[in-house]
Amino acid sequence: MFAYTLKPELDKMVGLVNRFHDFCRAGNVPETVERHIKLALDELVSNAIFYGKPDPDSLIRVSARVTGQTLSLEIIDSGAPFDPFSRQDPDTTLSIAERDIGGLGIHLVKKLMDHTSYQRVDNQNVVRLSINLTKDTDSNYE
Amino acid sequence: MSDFPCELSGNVLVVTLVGRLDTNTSPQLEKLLAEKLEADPVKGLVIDFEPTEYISSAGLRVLLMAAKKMKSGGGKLILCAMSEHVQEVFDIAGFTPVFNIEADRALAISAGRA
Repeated sequence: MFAYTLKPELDKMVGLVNRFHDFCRAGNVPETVERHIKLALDELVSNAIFYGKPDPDSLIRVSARVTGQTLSLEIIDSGAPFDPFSRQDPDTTLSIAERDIGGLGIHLVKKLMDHTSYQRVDNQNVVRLSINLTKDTDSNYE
Repeated sequence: MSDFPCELSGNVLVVTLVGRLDTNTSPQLEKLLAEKLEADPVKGLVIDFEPTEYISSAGLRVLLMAAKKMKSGGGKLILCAMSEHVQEVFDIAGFTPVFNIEADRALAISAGRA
């Protein structure tokens, strides 16, 4: 079980990622899965801070657990209601000149994770992710 | 956790991405590239991903800007030595077809000189 709380500040995410690394090493989480989740944490926590604008004194709670072959992750913040997965996927076929980066992070999360969900519970944003620990890194996206 | 050592090889600047390229470290890379390219507008910019742990959308944004900047100055950006994980992120983002990507640093430097 992994549990970590952080203030809603971008530079506090460094400690989160470092501690998550320790958790993965202790539990023999495959390196590819660890990298996928670190990327997802970076996208989702920065989004929560940026769009939800939680109270500076509030805490963002991140927890993770391994059940069988599945790693599940939960991110809870008390910012304004914000569903990160409601945004339309970006057009990833445009040329460099036309390309806009908006929405790309969440697109990556949806493709890299096996399951994503969002709920508003008790005035909090609850984001849940899960990924199969034995996933073939090539089979999860087209 | 991250470091971006730079090396000049003729008129090609090689920047190596050590560690993570995420929300916290991408602004450092952005600043470094702006300073380096301002001081010496090189013909080729090579970014070496060999020691890169992962790249999030914040890092992809910096690369996109660097590519546009190099292109507008008549130069080019070449990426190299991507791990499977980094390659997967580029594939999903649709970045693979729009960037020059070489297998290793030596090939990238020659492509930058050409």
